[in-house]
Amino acid sequence: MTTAKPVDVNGNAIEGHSHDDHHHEHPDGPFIAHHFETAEQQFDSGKLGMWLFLVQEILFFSGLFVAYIIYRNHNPEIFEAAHVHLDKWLGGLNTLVLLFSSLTMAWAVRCSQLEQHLGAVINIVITMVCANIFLGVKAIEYTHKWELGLFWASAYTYGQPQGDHPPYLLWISAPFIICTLVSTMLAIYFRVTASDFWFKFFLCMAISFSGYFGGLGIAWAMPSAEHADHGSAHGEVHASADPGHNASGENHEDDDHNGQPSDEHAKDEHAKDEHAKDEHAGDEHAGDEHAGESTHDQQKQEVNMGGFFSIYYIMTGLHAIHIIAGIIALTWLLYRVLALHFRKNYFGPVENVGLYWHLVDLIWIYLFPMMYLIH
Amino acid sequence: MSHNSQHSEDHAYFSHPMPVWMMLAVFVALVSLTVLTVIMSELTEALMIGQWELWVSMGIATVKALLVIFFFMHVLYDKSFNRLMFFSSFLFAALFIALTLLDSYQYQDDISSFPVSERPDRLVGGQ
Amino acid sequence: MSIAKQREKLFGHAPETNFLTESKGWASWLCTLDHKRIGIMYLIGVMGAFCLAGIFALILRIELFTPGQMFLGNQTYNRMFTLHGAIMVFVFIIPSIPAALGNFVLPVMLGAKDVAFPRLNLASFYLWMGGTFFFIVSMVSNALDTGWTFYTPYSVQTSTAVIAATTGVFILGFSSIFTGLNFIVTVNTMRPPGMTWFKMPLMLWALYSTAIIQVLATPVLAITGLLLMAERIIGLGIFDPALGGDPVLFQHFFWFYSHPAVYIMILPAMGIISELIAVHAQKKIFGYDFIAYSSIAIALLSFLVWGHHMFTSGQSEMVIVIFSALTFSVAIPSAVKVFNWVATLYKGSIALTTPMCYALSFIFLFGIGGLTGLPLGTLSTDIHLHDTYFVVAHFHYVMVGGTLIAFLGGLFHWWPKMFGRMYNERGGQWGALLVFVGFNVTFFPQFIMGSRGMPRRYARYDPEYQIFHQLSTIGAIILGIGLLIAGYVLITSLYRGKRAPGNPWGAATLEFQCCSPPTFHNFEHDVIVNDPYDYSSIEFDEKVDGYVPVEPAPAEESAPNPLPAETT
Repeated sequence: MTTAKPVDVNGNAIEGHSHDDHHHEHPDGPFIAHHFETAEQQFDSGKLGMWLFLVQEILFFSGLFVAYIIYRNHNPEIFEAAHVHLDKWLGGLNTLVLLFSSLTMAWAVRCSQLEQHLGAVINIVITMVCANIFLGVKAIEYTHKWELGLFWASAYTYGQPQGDHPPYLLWISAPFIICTLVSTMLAIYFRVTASDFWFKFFLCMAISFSGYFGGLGIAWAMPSAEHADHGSAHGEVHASADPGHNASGENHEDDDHNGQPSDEHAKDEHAKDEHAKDEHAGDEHAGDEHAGESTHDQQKQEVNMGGFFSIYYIMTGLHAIHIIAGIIALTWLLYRVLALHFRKNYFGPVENVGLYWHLVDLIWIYLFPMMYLIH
Repeated sequence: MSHNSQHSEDHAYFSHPMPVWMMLAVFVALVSLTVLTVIMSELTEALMIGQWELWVSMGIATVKALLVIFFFMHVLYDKSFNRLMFFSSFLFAALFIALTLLDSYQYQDDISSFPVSERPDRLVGGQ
Repeated sequence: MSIAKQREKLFGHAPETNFLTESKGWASWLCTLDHKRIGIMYLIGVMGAFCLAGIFALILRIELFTPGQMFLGNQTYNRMFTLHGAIMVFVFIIPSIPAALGNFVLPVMLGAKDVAFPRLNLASFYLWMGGTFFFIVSMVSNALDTGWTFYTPYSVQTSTAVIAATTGVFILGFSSIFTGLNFIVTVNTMRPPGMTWFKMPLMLWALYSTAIIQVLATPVLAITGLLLMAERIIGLGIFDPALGGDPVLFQHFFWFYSHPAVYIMILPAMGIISELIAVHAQKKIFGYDFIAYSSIAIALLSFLVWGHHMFTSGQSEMVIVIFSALTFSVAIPSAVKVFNWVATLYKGSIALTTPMCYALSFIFLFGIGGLTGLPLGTLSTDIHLHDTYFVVAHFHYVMVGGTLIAFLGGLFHWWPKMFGRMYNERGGQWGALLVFVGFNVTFFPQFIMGSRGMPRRYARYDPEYQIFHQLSTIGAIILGIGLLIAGYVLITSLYRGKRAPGNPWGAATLEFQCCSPPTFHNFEHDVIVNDPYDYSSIEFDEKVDGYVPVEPAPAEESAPNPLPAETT
């Protein structure tokens, strides 16, 4: 550690009268706290603190990885049967979106280190747009599964006739719609009242939130979303009947609502399940005299398929919560960057939020092959 | 480091801005690896890697993770204590996973050999 | 800076304000960023929790006075022991030493003005309050009855307030993580010039090791709590066998945190004892390096032994053997510490001050608690002793006989520093004696009845165990009286105690270089870092009624260990 400056700068001030730290600016700048001696000490402390927080995050997620690995090892057939409901193209798209947001985040750190304020703002806004795109894609993935009854273990109703379901996508999009509208209106308001700073801030926020709808649009427009994947996974029988599904993006919405195609899927899925189950049961409960076995076992199979989705939802859900937390942290950064707080010897917050953001990316880098690329 | 030579005389200048070409190169590498891993999962039968597919895709994920850690997270330039701490967290996570998995392998037979008929009703769910 | 000048600075004039008086009003406390005030608020909070859980314990003990039912029904009994355990563990013991005492002393001992992240520190206190609130909610709504371990599948099926309690645990976990994170960063980056790692008091090594565990293990508790909540709310099915889950997995999750948590409880206690023994025997601590390294060793080894809680839970044979073998390794660093304390006492000028009384109790009780852990870590004996009162006695010897006693010792040691008042020494000693006697009378009979097969957590028992239970109940009452006396002594000192000098015990650590109570910024002058256990240059001064630094005697005294000259 570099030799510190004498403490007296503050010490003298204390003997005067006031203990309010904000009255006495630190020699290294307004954002250096009184109990640090140099800006570098504060930076090192903040960074070490963030690393420790990331250590904590890794251990936090490690519990989920344990659950995943144990379930996958002991029930590989369930994972193979269930993963066909995940669309690796949407997952891959989201991976690219997050990787790109990592790039812009790293770039934002570079910009704030070099005091390139405009560059920092642009990069942070791009990062937030990417985060919202990610959530938009995720919303499509989630709601599509819910409409098919692909819930976690206790609510798993796939293959059973789905009644009227609530408008999941509307519910899940509501906060984003509100945020976008409010940001836009505030931006307009501050434009009118000529409050330049807040106009810029809310304009950036509105742009960021609109990324969510971009995500929805991309996921809708993806040519192979959901159904094509079903086709390939269901093998030859189904493949011939499939082209209709591949034809265009607009069909998807109808598919989900008119019920008929998904029933078809369900039937297929059933056939497959039953086949797998028969083999399984044959191995393990050869002499089981239980009369109602087949119905019991069939239900058990479905519950266990839900087991996969339990893990899927808890892992991706917690990851999505981290993305939302990241958006909040980035909003804070956006405010501070616009207010020109950062300088050559004070850019710790950007760097630390960046570290957090990269960790969120890092977790997704593992989640993607673990969830979407199973064979 | 040529980018910041004009700043180096400033006092209290302790940052290491990452060169733009390096960020872009890392990003291109990450995208290529992502494409590679998706293609591999598509072609898993053709490539005859079968059961190794999991390990290959996790290996690719690890390479990607290391790229992010070393470059985007600046671990390459970071203090060795921070590096030690971050990587040791993976060690502890691995310890947790390894011992739990080891145990679950051992007792799994007890669970799966437990006859269905002896399980309480709730076990078969939804009734 | 010459010693004379330092002395003049130290005691020449009393500072006008200290951290207690420098600002007034509720808001100045509730919004404070001062680590000392946060420490005091924690202290008040954890003592409240301790009283609550202690009252539960007394009610349980009185109910157990007779084999049949006196006044508690079975279900009420279950709820009460659950709340006693859960509140004691999560709300009291885990934050007691690190968050209450540690917050107060760590920056001062280090010579820093504050912890690295004062806001995070305050946030951690409010998280603690939030977590405690949820515990109280779970207590008054539909009190928890799962035992403090929340084992599935029962915790998924019971109708009691598992979700509120788990939320509480989740929040308290983050409070603990933030405290630990803060301490690690503070020790790493805030050391003043001259404070090298091996000039840190052993208390700081202990708190640092504790912080490592807090940061590494607590997140696993958080995810466990979260999964358990999801299990109950939406039926996630990861732990619930009814949905294809694995209940043994829950125990792995739980104990991956909760075994290291045992060391979150005991490590800082060991740090306190290292201070008390050296200061109150006025002798340089024996084997500084070994005590320091053994703290780190315990912290790391604590992650390798969690499976010994699951010997009879359906864990596989091979893993049981591995965990049993690894468990014994923890005994080594623990024993290293005990031997070093005993060696420090040897030929020391032991003053039986109240803190020293607690320190001696600690060595005795922790010795018993530690040694009785060995039969529990041994496979063959554990099968017999598992879930009996032997286990209850063992962990009470470590947690109460260890942590609580050390907490009280530390409290009496730093009380004059915290509030600037000396307590009645005689009263403190009586309190310590009664606590020691009452504790042994309470828990030693439990070893005996446990080894004879009395299972834990039972509201009713066979008459053959009655004599032990009655002894135990009587002991608990004595223990309670001792604690009341200790509390009375401390509280009356605030009104009637005489003013405390800067250094009442002759300690050489930095917190006794500043005045009592410290000023807002802790030190009015640059700190001078010396050997924290070198008492040769400190002597009693009648004028200030406390210890002051003196010029070291020339030649022979300073020769053996010349400190590098780092006058700032």
